[in-house]
Amino acid sequence: MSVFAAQVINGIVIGSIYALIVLGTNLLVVVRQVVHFGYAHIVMVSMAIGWLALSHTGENLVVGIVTILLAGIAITILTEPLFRRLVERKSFLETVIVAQGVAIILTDVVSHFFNKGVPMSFPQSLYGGGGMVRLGLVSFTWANVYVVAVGILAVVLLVYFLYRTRQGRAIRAMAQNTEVARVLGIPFGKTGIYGFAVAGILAGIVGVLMAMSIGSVSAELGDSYAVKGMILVLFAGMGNLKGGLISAVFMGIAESMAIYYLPGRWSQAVFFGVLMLVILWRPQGLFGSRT
Amino acid sequence: MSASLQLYLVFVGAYILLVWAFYIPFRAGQLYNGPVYCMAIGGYFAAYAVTNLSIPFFVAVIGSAILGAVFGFFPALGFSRTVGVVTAVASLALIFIIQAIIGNLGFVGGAKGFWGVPKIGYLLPFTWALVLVIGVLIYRLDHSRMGRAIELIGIDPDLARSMGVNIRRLTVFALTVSSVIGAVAGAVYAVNLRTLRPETFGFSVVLTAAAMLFLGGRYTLWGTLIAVPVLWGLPQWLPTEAVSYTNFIYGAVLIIVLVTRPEGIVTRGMERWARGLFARLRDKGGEPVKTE
Repeated sequence: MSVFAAQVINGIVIGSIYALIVLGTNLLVVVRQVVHFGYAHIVMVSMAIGWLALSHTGENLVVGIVTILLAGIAITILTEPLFRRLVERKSFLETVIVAQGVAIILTDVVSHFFNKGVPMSFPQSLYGGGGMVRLGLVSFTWANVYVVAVGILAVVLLVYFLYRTRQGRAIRAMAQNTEVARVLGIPFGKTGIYGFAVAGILAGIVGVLMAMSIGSVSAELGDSYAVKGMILVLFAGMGNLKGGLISAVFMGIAESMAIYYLPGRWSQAVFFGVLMLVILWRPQGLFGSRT
Repeated sequence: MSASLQLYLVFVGAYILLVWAFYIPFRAGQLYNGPVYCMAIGGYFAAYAVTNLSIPFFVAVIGSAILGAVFGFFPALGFSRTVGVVTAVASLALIFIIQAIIGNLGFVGGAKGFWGVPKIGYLLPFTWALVLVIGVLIYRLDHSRMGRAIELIGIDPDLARSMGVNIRRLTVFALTVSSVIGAVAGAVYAVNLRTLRPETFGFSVVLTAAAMLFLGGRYTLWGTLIAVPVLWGLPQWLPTEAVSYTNFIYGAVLIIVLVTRPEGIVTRGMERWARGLFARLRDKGGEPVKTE
């Protein structure tokens, strides 16, 4: 029973990370009609840069965390101009491909310049030294607590931002109807950059959380999370923030179960198979609506 | 002809077929990753058939094509209902699923891989004969009523529907054909590489093929014939230190092409100009020219 609970907790942690990735991706879809396939790769590069910072400052945690956050924002905003022409052409599909180009480049850069392509691991002090907390039959690490707590906090803050601040409302207005928003005087360029910046901060947060829970980063990390994240976005419904959150956490738990209870590589086949079948059955996503 | 040149030419042939397999659904507006999933199936089958079942390669290719049709048909049914981004991303799942399945199949080497495929003497001329035949077939398809209907689906699905085009059926057809060609490309590739692992037919193949398709010309067949040798041959004409940056260059190529010259090198306009040229040349020969 405690093993089962451990898998559930593990799943919630992974699911929270997926949820934030899905949230960031959906945000970019909603704000700028950009399907940013390279988002997970930005997370990965931020982690790599953070690792560099950590190793150069003698494992100064604050520096490491701040570096990852800043790297997330910076790289995300840097990729924004690439998509501008495509957004004018209103081509969703092409943004996926350009983002894939970004993804390849980021992966290649990390495998060449960071630690000569060997996976980089983060110091134990980052996640509370591996200490465990017991609550009855269930035990979990401090890292698990941080991840879920920060995840929830991030979602709450994002919702507050989107619904209670001017910039957030501007972003939602642009998402609903770009032309009308422009006519109403909402600046297209600036709002888009705000959207990218918020997504960038989220990417940085995901980076920190992943450093805490997974404990290491390698160039391949980007690809695996990008594909899973993207498929989850479609599974829930592209642009659907709420649906994305729920689906991500649920699939995190499901994946955790599958990895533990299914032999060999079948867990991956089942995971992707189920997601793909649902998407084929409901192309607009579980929570999406037919426009 | 040196061995490495032979290897190179066969790989170029295989990738030309693969990119053409991507090209066909793209005319209908779909970026479908089914060809790579069938590349794995066709490739592993051909390798196993030639190595363990002693089936001659040219027969094995037919087997790969048939498997490609069967295994390509069912996903095609599902993916005919989806569009654009959804198809592109969800069909990636097929690739990972088949990788996981192959990784669990002990008799083809599982995760450790499959090696020991014997060298096929006639591979080079055979591959290019395939390229020629399939190229002609695709060209004929493009310029037939069916091909024009497929193109219409890509340009304006609503118009296509109102003109009586059965989008569902044509899309399934296009996706299945592309799966078959992908399987054949896989057979050629596998037998040339002679060592396979599940990762061989993975995500990076998709990115490479995409770079080649978009660089060459996404709406024409011909551009592929330029883009594939150039991009695949990069390790040859780059200085040694730059060779490991091949992936980086593929990514950069993708981005630059899509932002600056989205149609690619060989555009539809160029193709029409070339055909006009041929028509006028025929005219000069005294033959009456039928205007389309």
